[in-house]
Amino acid sequence: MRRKIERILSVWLVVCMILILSSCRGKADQTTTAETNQCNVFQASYIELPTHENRSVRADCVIATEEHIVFLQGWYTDPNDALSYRQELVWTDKVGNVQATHPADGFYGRTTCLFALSDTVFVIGSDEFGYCKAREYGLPGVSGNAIEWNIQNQNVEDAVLVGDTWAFIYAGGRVELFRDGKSIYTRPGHVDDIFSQRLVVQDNKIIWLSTNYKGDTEWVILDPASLSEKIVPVKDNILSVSGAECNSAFGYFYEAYDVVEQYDPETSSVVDFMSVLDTDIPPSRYQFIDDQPYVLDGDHIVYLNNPGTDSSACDPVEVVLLTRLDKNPHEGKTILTLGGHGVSSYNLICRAVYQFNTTHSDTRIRLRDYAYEYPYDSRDSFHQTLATLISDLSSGKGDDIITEGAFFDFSYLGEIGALVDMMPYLEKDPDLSADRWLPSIFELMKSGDSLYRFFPGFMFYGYFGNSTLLTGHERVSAEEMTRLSESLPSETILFPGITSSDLIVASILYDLEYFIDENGEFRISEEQMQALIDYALECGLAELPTYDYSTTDKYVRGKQVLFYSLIANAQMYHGIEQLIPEKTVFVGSPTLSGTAYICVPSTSLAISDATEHPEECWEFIKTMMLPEVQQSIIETGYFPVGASAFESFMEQAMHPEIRTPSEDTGLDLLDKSAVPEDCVERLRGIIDSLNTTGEIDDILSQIITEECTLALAGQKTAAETAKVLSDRVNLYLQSRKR
Amino acid sequence: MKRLSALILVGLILALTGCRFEALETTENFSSSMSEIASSSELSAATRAPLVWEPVIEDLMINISDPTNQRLTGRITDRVIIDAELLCSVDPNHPGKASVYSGGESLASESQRNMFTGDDWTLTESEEYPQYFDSQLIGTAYKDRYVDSSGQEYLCQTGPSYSPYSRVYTLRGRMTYSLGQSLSPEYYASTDFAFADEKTAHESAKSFLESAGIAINECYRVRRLSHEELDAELRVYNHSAEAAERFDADVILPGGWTEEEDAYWFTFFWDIGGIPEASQNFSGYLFLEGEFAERFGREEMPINGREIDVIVNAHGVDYVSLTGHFSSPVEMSSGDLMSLDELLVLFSEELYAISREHSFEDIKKSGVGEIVTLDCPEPITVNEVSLVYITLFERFTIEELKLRSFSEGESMLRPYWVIRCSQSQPDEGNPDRSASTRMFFDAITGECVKHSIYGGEQ
Repeated sequence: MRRKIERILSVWLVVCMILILSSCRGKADQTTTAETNQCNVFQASYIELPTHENRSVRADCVIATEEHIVFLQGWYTDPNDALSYRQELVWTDKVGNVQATHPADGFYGRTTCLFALSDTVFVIGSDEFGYCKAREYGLPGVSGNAIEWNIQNQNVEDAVLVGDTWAFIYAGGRVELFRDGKSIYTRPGHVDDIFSQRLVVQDNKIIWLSTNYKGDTEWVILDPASLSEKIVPVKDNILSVSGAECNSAFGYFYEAYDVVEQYDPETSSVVDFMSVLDTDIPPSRYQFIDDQPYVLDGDHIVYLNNPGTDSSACDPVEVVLLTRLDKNPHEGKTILTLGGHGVSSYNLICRAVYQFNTTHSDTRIRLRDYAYEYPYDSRDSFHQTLATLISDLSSGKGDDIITEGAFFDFSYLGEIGALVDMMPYLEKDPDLSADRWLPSIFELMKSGDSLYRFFPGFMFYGYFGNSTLLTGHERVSAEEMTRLSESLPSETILFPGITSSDLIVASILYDLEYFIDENGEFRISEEQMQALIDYALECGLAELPTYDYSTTDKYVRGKQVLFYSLIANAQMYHGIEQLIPEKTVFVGSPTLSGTAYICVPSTSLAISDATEHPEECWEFIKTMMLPEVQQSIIETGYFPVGASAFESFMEQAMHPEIRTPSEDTGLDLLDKSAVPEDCVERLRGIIDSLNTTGEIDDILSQIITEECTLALAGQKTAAETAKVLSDRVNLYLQSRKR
Repeated sequence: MKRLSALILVGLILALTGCRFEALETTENFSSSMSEIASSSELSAATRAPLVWEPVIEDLMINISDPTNQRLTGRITDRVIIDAELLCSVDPNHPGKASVYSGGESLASESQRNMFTGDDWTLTESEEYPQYFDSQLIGTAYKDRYVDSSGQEYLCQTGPSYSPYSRVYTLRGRMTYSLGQSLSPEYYASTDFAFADEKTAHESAKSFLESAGIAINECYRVRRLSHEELDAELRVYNHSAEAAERFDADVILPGGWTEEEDAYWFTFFWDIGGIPEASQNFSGYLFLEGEFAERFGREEMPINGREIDVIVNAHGVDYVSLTGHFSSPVEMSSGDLMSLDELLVLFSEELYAISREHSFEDIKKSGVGEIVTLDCPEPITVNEVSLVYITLFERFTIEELKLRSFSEGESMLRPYWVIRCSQSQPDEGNPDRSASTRMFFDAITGECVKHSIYGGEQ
């Protein structure tokens, strides 16, 4: 389960990390941007590749000849045998109709290296002895004998043919040219530890781009005729275009969230190749996909969405073909912007935007990804960026719709008038009413009687307990947990690894209202502070061990009372109940007044008060409650907020036979067998009891940690800590109001 | 290149307490080369404190009476603590002679396929998985299903000849083995089970293997898996396992977990002339340098280890798995094996050489977790000492290889003393940082594979 939770969290976290990293690449370095007259909007369609029964077929790569698109796909005949990987070439026409399929035999293990010439394709790999070889294929099948080179035990990452000269690049960074089977030129990379490199043929020259882990890059233009080289300097070790590098044998392309750009190293010029914002690219239904797009030629791009989840599910690869249009079909539409950090990578948002854009003829949503527009790379710069963002929002420079909780405290922004209260829109909406939501979740979306934010799906987290060990301590609170911990045998622990200071932070932040007095001020008494210190010292650790703190086995064997977990669906909850033969109790996160049952919203959306199109924005927000979008949440394995979709999700849990393959995919890593009805009922009870959301104010958390660390170390009394903490928290809360 | 500090060699005193020491030629050569290295190093600029190493082996205790739990304890001054699991089937002080063998890598899958089938077993289902390379059949894997006269179902899995393995098991046995692998050693039972004592269960496993023609060494490992802990571990296991890996205990054990599922898990070693072959977790690569690399004509030497696992419970032998075996070894040469005393001398010298080359500061900077050094204030602990045969794969030219069929990878069996040692190497950013490495000493020539980095478990 730990692995499952980590994978789920990784969907949220990795995206943020990637975007933070990618945001380091600015666009300011663009040298020139050539203007072209061609339309940069593409039309999407799907290609269905041949499948093989009971095999998990993976599309390894794709390339284009003059007339065809050629896919290399493969599968393991024996999942336990790495050598049993079989591959085949699938030929389609340029609109995706399959024309021929040929086995790509004769290579040792998997190969992902293709090169196209006119209407033939070369597959390049290694033989059983590690020597490099290539085979040539045309539409009718394999032609001629294999070509072999005296290249042994080199991991060939890319190969191209120019005239009679083959060029290879090897893992780690080296290029080598062969003519008539003999090596005629070789050159190491200019930096060590090359991890990404590609070859492209342009004007009968070979262009080699190599990048190492530090981001140091080099472009080398090799002339096979003269065996001369030209090195293209890259300023400040940063590529002069932003975004992630696309796969292409056709040129150097970079995909940012808004545009795909083509870079010409010979002229250092950049050309907009495709407008991502104006192209409706269907988002993948898979949670984990692992490929950049393949730019095939001037008019075609292919996305290979290989499912990254359980291979035994044999889910087919999604192949999306984009074909250039002659004219932008979106000219004249009202454009709404939707901004948020990492928003272009949120599958859920992308699905909703895709749904909206493909069904509305007058209005169109464009994403603005704050990872690019408002980048930050540290806690300090985060707060500076946040200030800029809020300033932009209030001065009308912000977006129509904003999303994501890392930046925004929606309740606070609503109170200061920066957001539209959506409640009046909901109340007068003919299509939607409050009873369409799960009641407890709708309450958590509200701030008083206002509705400043909306989220379409959720999870919850907290501690689960062994009811036998909790006997006599049913009223869970921090003080009760202290008493329970004191009564436990020495070999039994209460919590899995958590620090004392984190226990205090959670107790205060998840129960902040408890400490707000009638004047709206934060007040913690000496007695309350002492109770929290006692709780933290008794139940928490001074510091976390650096090794992996796996506690499942202790909980299972009754040596640990509580088990922490994040729950996104009934299968995960059932998995927790199955850990112990005794009854499982949801304990939540103990606080002084009781306990916090914490809901984790998927993605929150709000309408900026500065928008000129609040009605249209509400139309988009409503999209999140459409059956199609709520269904997409189910397909990713999360609880939907819609009451009807939630019921459907629970029915599927109890009756797995009614699940569609798409619905199965979201549960790929879990036990998909039927969840008993009584277990589902207990889960409903927990969801009904959720009483807070999981967003934490980073600055408040920091203040509490700082003050409590001194108290936990005995350097300050409870009374001193209570006073300083109250003052500091109040100061911060007052500053926010200003 | 960083300049090394002046190195003052106070002296190399090899006093072996309680051990008989006869200097080998290799040791003498090494000592003289050490002096040369020391004098040349003295010319280097001083940038760090001199490394002083006067190895004195003390309090050495060898316990080989229990073949399942051999131990070696002692210390080398106060810098190396020896608290090691020992794997040695001969007298470590007088190990005698051993041979070097060459031969085919493994049995063909066909001959392994039926090696465990009982006389009263009936084949009920069979699946073949032919494996092709370049349209040429290179081997076949099999999955056969049998039922014995009592109605118990067995599965037999056999790998293709290029990746030989053989398993026979009941579903219950496979579940027990998987849970045993996942179970933390702290949950192993310490006393024998009611259905049979460990000796009886061992005899049962041994005779099962011998009846299949398998020669096993007298050393073995045993873990006791109680049904209560297996039951608990199943819940832990299923919680984190992916769908295809989970076990449905309700189907496999309709009556639930009972004492009948208490199990002994034995790990046996193939026997090569009275010496065990290295276990599977030795498989990986040796990284060679200098003469050694020159001799083999390569810098990376693939090596292999193999072992045999058997689960015995009240139902009998419930699970067996083994990887392929040297099919027909041919003796190439033979020689006297180095004694444990001599090994520890060589180890001390090797440790010194490594420590001279790798300062603690450099190791911390590099972040490499595979180098122990005397330059670190923390002691080095020897955790494992084994005298085992290791399979090395020789280097061939492309022409030579193409003359052979795919399944006939030539290999060589050589006896090695292998020492695994570890060291806590805390630094400011990571107080739990540690290093672990294995050193491979040719048990006949005494040569050490320098800076061996191991592909498998360290």
